[in-house]
Amino acid sequence: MFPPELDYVRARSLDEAIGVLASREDAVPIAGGQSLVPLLKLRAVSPGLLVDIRGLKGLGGVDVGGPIRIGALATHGDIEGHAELRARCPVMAEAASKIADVQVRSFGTVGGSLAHADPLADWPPVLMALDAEVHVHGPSGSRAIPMGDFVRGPYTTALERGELVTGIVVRDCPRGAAYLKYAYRHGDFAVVAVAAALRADGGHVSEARLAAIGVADRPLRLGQAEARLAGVPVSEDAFADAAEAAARSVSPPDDHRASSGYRRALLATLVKRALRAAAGR
Amino acid sequence: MRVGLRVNGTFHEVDVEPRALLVHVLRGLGYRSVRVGCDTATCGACTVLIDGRPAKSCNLLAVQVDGAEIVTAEHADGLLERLRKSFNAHHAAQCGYCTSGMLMAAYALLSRRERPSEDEVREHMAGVLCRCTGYQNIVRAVVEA
Repeated sequence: MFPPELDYVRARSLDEAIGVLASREDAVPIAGGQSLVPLLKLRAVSPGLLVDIRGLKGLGGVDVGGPIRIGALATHGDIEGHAELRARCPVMAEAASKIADVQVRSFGTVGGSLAHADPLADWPPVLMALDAEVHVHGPSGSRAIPMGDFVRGPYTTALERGELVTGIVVRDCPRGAAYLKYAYRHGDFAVVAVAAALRADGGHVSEARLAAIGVADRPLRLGQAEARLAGVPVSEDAFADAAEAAARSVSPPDDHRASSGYRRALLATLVKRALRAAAGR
Repeated sequence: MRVGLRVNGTFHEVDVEPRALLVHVLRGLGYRSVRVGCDTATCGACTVLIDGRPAKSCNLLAVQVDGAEIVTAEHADGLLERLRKSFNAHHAAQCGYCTSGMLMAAYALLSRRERPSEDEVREHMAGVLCRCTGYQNIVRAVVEA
């Protein structure tokens, strides 16, 4: 398979990239290309111009000094292998290690994954459970978008034309967080996956955040399950109760990969296990 | 577009269309160990090292890696020689189509970790598929290389 004929330019600065992307309707940014190149080969997208942003300075890297800041160009492999980040926010390393395989993680970037917004991408549920912000920069300046508002539907985000993801910020990463993914094959997209972040105070839940993929056409925050956990004692009963509430709150899609009922049952199981894993950390 | 690639220590400057995939450019330069397998970034037969990291050359445009250091299974160094011998000794190839991808994935792992455990090998090599179902011998070859 061959990508369609296209032009290519290597951006020398963020502003140059944004200028080109804002002025040409057929221009598309490329970072690692691990989602875009397959789409080009399938001719699912045929941009006239690729704007390569991978070489831009200041958009990569991981900084755990204050709030956790991860540059848009940080690869999944960078995140997985960052020792200080793993110590400070283990769930991010855990999630990174569950994305595709080592080769894809060498090039695939967190910013690219977010902007592509595959409904089964692994970062959105994790970053929703961590209440992360997505930082973007465009023709009208910079803004921060809460992760929960960033994905608007399948392959659709809050990004305006010409805007690029510049990084993500996690202000608060509870140690008690876990990401559980069920896939048919190692490295495949999830059938269902659940991210949980849990804090307890004196044996009672003081904070619980849950998000899932594979149960709707986009990543979902599981608000009803979270509400069931508010203030209750940390216990298997509480987790089972939250799991049941989560399962009742969704209408999962029915498709060739899994039936709606199977997805709902998987969700309940994964919510329970993710909460148990989070509580044990 | 002019693209410069250093492959196994030899510098090549080639004129490519922006849409050219790295795997095709490498094969065009004579590095025939780099295989086109599934052509959908799944099977890993096209795996090469790019600036020290394993990557699927069917899933990258050559223009994206202008200036990169690339290592393919043709490379000659002590580690790759050790791996080749171990693959041979453990009968780690049946049809052989995945072998160069397997070698490069193993090379990437052993370059940064001297003695990986069997679990680490399995996890790290999961991005290269063997359809002769020969994983057992491949894993043993890497663990004992």
